[in-house]
Amino acid sequence: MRLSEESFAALGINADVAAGGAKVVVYAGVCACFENVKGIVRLSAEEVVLRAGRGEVCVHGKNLRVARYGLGDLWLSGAVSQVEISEESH
Amino acid sequence: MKPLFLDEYELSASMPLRALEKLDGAGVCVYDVQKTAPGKLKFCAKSKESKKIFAILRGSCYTVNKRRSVGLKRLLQKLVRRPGAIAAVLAVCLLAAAANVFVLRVEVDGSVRYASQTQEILQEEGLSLFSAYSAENAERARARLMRLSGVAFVTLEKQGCVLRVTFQESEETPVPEREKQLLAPCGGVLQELTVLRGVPLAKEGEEVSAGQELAACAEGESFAVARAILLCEGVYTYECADAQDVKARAVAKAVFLCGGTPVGYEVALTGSGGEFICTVRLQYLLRLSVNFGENE
Repeated sequence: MRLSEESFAALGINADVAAGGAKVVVYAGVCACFENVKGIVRLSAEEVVLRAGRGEVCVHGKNLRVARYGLGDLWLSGAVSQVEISEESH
Repeated sequence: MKPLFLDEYELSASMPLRALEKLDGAGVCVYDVQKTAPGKLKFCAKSKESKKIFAILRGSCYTVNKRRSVGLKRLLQKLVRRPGAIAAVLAVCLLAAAANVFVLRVEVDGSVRYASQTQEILQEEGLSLFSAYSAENAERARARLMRLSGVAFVTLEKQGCVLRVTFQESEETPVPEREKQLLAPCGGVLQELTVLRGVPLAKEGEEVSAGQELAACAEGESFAVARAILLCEGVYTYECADAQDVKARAVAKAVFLCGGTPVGYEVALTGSGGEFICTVRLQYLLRLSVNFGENE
């Protein structure tokens, strides 16, 4: 992670902008954090589909709930069991 | 971290999730988003962004209603509707704070023999029960308590409404108090009186009674140094069944009991058969002194 950050810093560009896709951090069984989220396509307790900068992120789990959404960041609480990243829209 | 002041909204639309994108685009952060029914969403947002939310979603195909306050804002609204409860809580807090100012109990630790003196000194310095505590008064009381004999150190601490006085006694043996007066233990004639320190209160040749003061310490002094010789007379009886040597035994007993130096005696024997009573009238010299041995 540090090498990529140093590389982007040396080139003078924002890592998120350069990547364009969603950044996903999953805390197993607790929550999941998403960056670069453009919108929510589908929302339910078992499935959440998010629209990212490039493509979509599909999250499966139990008791899923959007704890916070704003400024491109989204916190999903619940037991996340599966995350699918696709470059195609559903 | 979730903000403390939040409002809950209900959003109805054919595609309610799109509304969240609009809000996100305007910089409004939403919390606890839940789908309550098809086409219906529930979410929370900061209370101060309420007008902004309605402004963003006005004129569009979204119907948004504010349902209620959430979090600390809801708690405050409940409290405002119960002024009596708030007043009671404030009154209890004020009472607790005010009670802390007063002394409701005094405890003496370290030594019980200073308890009564401690109470007197505290009362004189304005720190008695149910009085207001003052650090100045406490310091004055502490200075007075330190001057008590045998006290090495004293601390005065207020713990809540309890004033705790802790004594630390001196480990040194206290200096014994010296005698201040010379008293006659029994009646007699004063033969000699020598006063090295103090005031003589009787004259040589004077007849004195038991307990009479013969010499006392002078004004401003703490002890007297004096000695005296009294010529006393005592009557002693001796009972026995055998008359042989009864007089000698009676005189011996009298000399033993008088505690002085015999000068003369008279013996009278009465009785007969198996019972004899010997009465001895003994004159003796009694030497008395106070603090005299330290000056010889």
